[in-house]
Amino acid sequence: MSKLTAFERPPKARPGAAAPHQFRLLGKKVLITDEHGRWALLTRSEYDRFVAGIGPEDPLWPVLQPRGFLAGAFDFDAAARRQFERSLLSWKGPGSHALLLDGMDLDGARRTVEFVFSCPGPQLTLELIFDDADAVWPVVWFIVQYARRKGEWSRRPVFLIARARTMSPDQADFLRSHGVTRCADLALDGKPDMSKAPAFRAQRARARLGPGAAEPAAWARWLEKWGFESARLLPASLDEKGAAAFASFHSGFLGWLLEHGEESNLRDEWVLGLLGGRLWNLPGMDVLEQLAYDGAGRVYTSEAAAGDAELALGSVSTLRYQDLPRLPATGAVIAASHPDNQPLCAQCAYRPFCAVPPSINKNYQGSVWGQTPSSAACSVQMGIMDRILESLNDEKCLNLLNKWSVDMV
Amino acid sequence: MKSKKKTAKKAPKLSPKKKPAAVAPKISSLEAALTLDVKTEGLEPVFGAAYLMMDKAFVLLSGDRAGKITVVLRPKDPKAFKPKALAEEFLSDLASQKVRWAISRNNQPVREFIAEQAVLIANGTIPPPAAPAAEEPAAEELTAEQRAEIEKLISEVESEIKTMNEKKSVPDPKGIKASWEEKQEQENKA
Repeated sequence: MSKLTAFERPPKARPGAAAPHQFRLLGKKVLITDEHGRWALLTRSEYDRFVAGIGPEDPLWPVLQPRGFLAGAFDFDAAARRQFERSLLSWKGPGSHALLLDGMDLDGARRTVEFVFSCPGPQLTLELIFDDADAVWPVVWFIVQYARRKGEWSRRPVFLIARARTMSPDQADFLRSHGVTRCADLALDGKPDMSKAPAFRAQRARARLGPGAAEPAAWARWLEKWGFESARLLPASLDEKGAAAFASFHSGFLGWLLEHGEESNLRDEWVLGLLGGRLWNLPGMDVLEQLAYDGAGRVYTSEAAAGDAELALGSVSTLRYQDLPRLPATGAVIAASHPDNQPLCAQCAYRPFCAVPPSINKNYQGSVWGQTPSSAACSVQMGIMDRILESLNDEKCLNLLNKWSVDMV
Repeated sequence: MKSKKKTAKKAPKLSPKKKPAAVAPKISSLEAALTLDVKTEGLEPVFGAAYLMMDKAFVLLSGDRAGKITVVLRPKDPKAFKPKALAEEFLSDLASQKVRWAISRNNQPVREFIAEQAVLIANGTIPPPAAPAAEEPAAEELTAEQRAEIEKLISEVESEIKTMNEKKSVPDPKGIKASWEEKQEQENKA
């Protein structure tokens, strides 16, 4: 069976019965989604009835009609509004800016922050990325102060994140007192040692799985114990083996979250990002969600593109935000990121939620377009979506998503 | 004509559930070849099913897009995928592709209308759905005062670095000022 899944005995779709939707087989259920993220989980016989055409007397009617799945009772105005709100027509600009601080000096930091603030958008997130805080501390200190003032001057909310492997208690205190979210770059391998604290106290974890990472539930408990509020797990490698190992680990991790959602404050950042349901909410989506800046002042389409000359957009000293649409790299990544332009994504039930950033495609498959059927990044995201959406009929899952402020329409 | 009959005889039987009557796959140890009638199967479903095979097989398409198309599936990893299994999978996906494309075609006018309406909302021809947008951010031009503040900040950074290097520890026997990390370290040692 292909990634999209296929029926053994396909049903017949009668014209005028089912409104636009995509389907996916999840175990014995058929998941249907529309372009705007509305969904329903049906049994196989219900799906057959649905595509053959149902009337108001059918028990499925009150389930599917309010969700806009019935062609005969379709709310065109509401659909147009949702299309406007969730498509690129409502895009305001990249909201996330990844600043790779290694090698950045104070003047470069000032220019970078000024470029970030030249980008439109109702709010800005600056993620300061470094290994060892000692090596770049003056730059961190300056950016935190300067970005805060720039935010006040431009009357825009500014969110600051510091992602590091190590930082001293003083540095962590400074960041905490200035409202900077601390994100720990972790490597999870083997089983957790519950008594071993992370290098510094952080609200967020960016945890790369090692090849021997085991016991996801225990790792979830470890993250919970040390006060993390959210975690983004990353595969050890983006190949078939890495994707399979990640899917298994992440499924266990999500299982623990589903089980302990009521009492735990830990959230899964993959789920939060994917179920946001907008292309420009997907973490690391080139240009649409993110721009990245290196220590030399070069601007890239995303953090994953850093160092790739083909995805470099210019220098913070000379580039203007309004020049971005004219650059070939911008056009290439935006065209390649849109699910309508990817043959598999265009037919995928997860199309409203998911897309692989073109820079990831380029890193692992050699082109921004990639080849979705053999993409391990696609498999990783599809596995996550399968795990969460197959549980959508479960009240526990819906309560958890509700607690995480995920709006599953 | 003779060769066609021979081909049909050699073709192994596929699962009756998955084998459309019109398709007679020709399977060798290296590859599977299927000749499909475009009018019956549809061009888009054939292309769609072929694309989906790309993780497992090299797919070669030849023939006439208005008449018959031959799809040759050659496994990328012959140990993992046998030509017969690939042919079965292709036919299964082809059948589901027909459903996907039927739903898509049935709803093309609906999708076009929605897209058109969304563009009209975006360009203001019809009223926007949400509340008026938030106030535009102030222009990014810095005033002389702001520039002076930046310069002051930079000099503060430099003096802060000096202070940090020279900072002497203040006695704190009860550990009141100890950070979370320091407390954890002490607890672990204990």
